Amino acid sequence: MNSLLHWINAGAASFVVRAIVFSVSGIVALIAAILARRKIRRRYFDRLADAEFYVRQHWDEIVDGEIPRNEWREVHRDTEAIITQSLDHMESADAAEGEKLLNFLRRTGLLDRILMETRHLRGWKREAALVQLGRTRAPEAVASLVAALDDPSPETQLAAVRGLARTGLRSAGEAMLDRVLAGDLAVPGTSLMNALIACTRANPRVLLPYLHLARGAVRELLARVMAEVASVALGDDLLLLASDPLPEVRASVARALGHAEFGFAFPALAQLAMDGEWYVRLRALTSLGHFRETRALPVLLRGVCDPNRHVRQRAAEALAHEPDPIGVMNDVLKTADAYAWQAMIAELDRTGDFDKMVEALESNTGRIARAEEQQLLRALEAGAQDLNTMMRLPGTRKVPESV
Amino acid sequence: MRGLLQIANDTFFLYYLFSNLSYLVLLIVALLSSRVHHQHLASLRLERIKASPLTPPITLIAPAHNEEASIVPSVRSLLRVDYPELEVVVVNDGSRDGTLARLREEFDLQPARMLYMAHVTTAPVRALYRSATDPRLIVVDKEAGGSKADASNAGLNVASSPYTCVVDADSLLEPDALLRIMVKILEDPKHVIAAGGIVRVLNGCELVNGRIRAVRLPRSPIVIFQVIEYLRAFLIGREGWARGNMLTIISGAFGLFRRDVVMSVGGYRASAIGEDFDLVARIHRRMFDEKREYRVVFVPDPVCWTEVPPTAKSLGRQRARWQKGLIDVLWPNRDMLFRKRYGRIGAIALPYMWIFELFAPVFEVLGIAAIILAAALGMLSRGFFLEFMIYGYLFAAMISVGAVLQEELTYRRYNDWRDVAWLMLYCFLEQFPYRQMHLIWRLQGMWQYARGDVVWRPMERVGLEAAASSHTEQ
Repeated sequence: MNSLLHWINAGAASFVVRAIVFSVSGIVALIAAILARRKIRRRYFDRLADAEFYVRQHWDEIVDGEIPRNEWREVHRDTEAIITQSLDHMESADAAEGEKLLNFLRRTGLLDRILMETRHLRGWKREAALVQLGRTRAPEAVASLVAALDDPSPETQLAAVRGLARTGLRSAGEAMLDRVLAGDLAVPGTSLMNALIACTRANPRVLLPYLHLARGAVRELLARVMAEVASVALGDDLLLLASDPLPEVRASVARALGHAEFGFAFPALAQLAMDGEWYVRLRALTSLGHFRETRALPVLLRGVCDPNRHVRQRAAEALAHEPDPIGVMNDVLKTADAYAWQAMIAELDRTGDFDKMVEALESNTGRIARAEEQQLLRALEAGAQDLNTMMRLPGTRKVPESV
Repeated sequence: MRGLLQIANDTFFLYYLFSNLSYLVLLIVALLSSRVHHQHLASLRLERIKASPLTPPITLIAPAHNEEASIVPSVRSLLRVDYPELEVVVVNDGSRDGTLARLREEFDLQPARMLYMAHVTTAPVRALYRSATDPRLIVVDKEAGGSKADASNAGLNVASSPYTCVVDADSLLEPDALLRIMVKILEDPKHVIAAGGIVRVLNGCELVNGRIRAVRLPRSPIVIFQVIEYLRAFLIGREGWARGNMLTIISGAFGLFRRDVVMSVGGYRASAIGEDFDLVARIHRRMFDEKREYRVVFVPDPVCWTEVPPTAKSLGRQRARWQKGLIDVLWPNRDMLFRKRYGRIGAIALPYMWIFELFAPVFEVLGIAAIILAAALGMLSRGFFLEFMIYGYLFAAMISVGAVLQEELTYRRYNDWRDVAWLMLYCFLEQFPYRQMHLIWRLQGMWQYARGDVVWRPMERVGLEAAASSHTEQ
């Protein structure tokens, strides 16, 4: 302590002088950085805008080769504008137009130029080139992008992942999956997920072997990717995954089964609707709701009595779209579950169907017994007039809810 | 006496040194992490999140107390937020003005057939309404609970989504704010339990039909100082703390929480003065007590624009309230300090809040007193004193200019070079007399708290359209 006090007393004056110099230098450097950045950006974008204007004016002649490439290749900003516009056009082009633009990039050597940049440039210039390369969607781009995945810099890896995502190719997805499994990628989860989704959506089966091999956090990530891309194309594998220990995988199966044949999907979905994890049940009930099948009714009725309010709401949403809403409401009332009843009323209120139902019941629909209709009407009116009366309806129970 | 004074001076010097060092470290961390975040942003596809069937629903909760002036544009902006499954719950917290009437008129409110389940106790709820024009809008009309926390709790009780986001009713969310804030959550949904976005100053901006058309720097000096403060607090402070998973504050104006986590700690503390800080502190405590792995994150690109106090008087009241809120949270949680079970929060974040936030005005006043005493006793080296003052002034200005640079490097909301020039100029004007006024307000807050004046009072608003320059276009 004494030595610290001694240091303070002896060194404070010189420290403060140095700190003043440091602060002044810091301020000058920061202000210079702000001003320089503004100036450089402005000049750069002015020139780029000029170049882009020229390119846009002569776009067809450039792509068709009527303007020889030597006329623009030597002007850096013209070349940059042409690459940018080619890639922008490719984003929205159909297959034939995309192929034509890719051939243009190949023919004029622009693709080689980008490839070279990804190998020889460093830092942000290389990262920009990697993303550009991916945007070309050229099969020959994949090797260079994959090579960049092994770069020690996380920024370069991220740029490579972005590039691979833009290709949307299966081989790009497999290269990323190999590295994910080996734990070699230091890329933010959402970026990686985006890329894997883009590259496996057309063929989700690619994910299966990796999902089986992966453990821990990697498996969770792959499960979330699977949840996005899983489709009926997975066939019987989907049913196998329905009993996976990871809830994310089961949820992905529940979502994918919503697009399958009802007969194929129903047994698994009914099982998943009783899962221990609420979001698996929620996905299963959402999928079941898509079918509008009366055979799914008992499962949906069980869902509307779920202890989790989100699950109840989804079940109520599905039930409200059933072809026989009065029958459904009667069934829900018979469950004697106040929370289920509330979920249904709230759903009818949200969709604006509440008054229609009351009117229908008042005019005697004949769909259910008159006594039941009257009871239903009373229950609905109790809900409409005094919310808390509903909780005191004979036979209703109040269950603790988990959320 | 002289020996004592010498020790006091040395202590203040060290305090000042550590304080500045921490700002410098936060600035450097923020500048580095914003580069990484920016790269990450470029790789994001918000449309994928929007289209994904797995994107979880969100309930926006907007407590409103006497917000007649700004409630309609504010609710419109909330309903315009671009998010696949959105529910907006406006809580009319016993307003005595025409808040409810304005809402009824604009959104065709009808009594909602919903059961209000008071999982968290609040002041009595009078009625629930749903908009006939947009069923996503629910209005809870309740008796005044005396705090924003009580109103937020009523909103939490009604919310039907797994994630809830409390926003001030006088704020405007950018349309993609929720998609952007969800990015960090979707990255790690198991562990990320709360996320804070950036809050920016709305005053001076150009509003058209309740939307921001042009971001402009206000002309009032008191508001420009606040712009710099917000840039410094969010782009340097929060960014830096979040990097170390030590974020202790998520702004009450814009924060997203997992509803089950908020419910598990009993919602907002109704008597809290700084309900936002209080909630995050209790969540940290609960997570550490239960030994759960979790993260509280800050996302610097989703923006919430808010009206800040336009006069010194209202600003003074706000800052005094913030200081009271700080004591109100730090004191009950003092047992978390330096306890191993509370990890980095107990070892670094909370001690920092105590020393460099809560006691900062006390140290400053004691420092001034020590200087005066030293001068009276003839112990003051005038040369050193002058150099020290220059250093203090320049260092503080450097950190503020750093915040402006961070803004320039990343989000560039102020496009007009004149606005940036003004911002830089005000970085040098902030030290006098604004800093001294701020010191007085904070001391007032501490004094009020010590006297037992702990009643939560809402800020007086001029209304969004008055704070910004507003137009209506057909």
